[in-house]
Amino acid sequence: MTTNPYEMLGVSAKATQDEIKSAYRNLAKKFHPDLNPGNKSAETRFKEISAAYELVGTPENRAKFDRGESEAAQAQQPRSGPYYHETQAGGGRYSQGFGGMDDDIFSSIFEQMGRQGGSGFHGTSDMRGEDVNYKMDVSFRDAALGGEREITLPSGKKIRVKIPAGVHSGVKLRLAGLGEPGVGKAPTGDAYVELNVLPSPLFKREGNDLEIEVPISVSEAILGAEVKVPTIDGPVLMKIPAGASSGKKLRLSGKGILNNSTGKRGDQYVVLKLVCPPNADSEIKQAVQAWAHRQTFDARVGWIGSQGGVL
Amino acid sequence: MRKVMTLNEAAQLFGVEQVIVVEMIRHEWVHPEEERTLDEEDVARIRLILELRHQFGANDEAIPVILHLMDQLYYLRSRLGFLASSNNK
Repeated sequence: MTTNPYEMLGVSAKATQDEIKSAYRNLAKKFHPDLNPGNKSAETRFKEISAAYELVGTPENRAKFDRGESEAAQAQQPRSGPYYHETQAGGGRYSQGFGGMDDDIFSSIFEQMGRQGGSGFHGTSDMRGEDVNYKMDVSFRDAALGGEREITLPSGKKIRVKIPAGVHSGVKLRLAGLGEPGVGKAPTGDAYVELNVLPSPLFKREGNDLEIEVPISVSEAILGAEVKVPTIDGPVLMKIPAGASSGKKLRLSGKGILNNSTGKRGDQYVVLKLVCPPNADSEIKQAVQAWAHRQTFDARVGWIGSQGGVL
Repeated sequence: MRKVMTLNEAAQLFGVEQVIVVEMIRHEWVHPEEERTLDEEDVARIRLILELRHQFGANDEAIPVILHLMDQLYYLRSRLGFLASSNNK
């Protein structure tokens, strides 16, 4: 520690009286104990600065010091009485006039600190880092079967994210420790990635069940057939019963999407769509005409619209 | 037992005219509990005001503002200290 008052005040020995004064004022503003209540090192600095200023703050004292007639030790006059903040610590008359302030604010701050740090208040506040939320599109296929995606965090860090099979839009994946850094000794927050599952051109998804429309020909509808139907596991051969109508729903059990809570898969429904040949040749037309004359099938029997249109 | 002094004793302690101390009371920067009797808090507050003036260069307009902010700070500190100690129990 220096005892040279000029060094203490940060001025040269040739500084003018005004320069010394303004250096002292600037330091006093910074280290005054009443502006730094409870800060012992500020108080020590303030005493040193005051003592230095005592030695060289006036032209007379300064001349005395420069002639070597006064020394730092002599200048340390004991302070008569406490600093103002010391009289107010623990509740003085002057600092108790603020009873209208909302004490609930403090209580809630402390409760929160207790929760987040898990260790209450110890002077330093350890606070867990904030959680960060992201959104990510995933393909229908990855959502159905599971997959892996590489994503780049805003920090530039690349990470691989595992997408579990069976996720749906709105599911949040938790990436532990990839949120904001914590304060003090507290842990880093987590990142949450909210998934948005993109639609499939083939499948309609309803919960864990899937629906697909499969076109069939007239002969397949009348005679029955086996058709190749896509599923998320790959194509399967499906039996179409003879006499199936357009719109008939058939079920492929267990070919839907995995339900993560039950471990069971949903079903895939196959909706038949009867497609007529657009340019039927005369042979077919004659055959159908002959057939139509012979039989009495009314496709609209039992159809509510045939009763004259009840709204 | 409270340590008390008269306005004149306080003025002598700080090497100022008594009228300076009277002015501080008239401005209500210092408000003694008993008339013309200063306790330790009042004396420390007078010293602070003198330091604000002479070391900080604060003028009479700024002094009440600074005092008010300091008093709020000390109030908050004492409330925080109280709550911190009750929170640790």
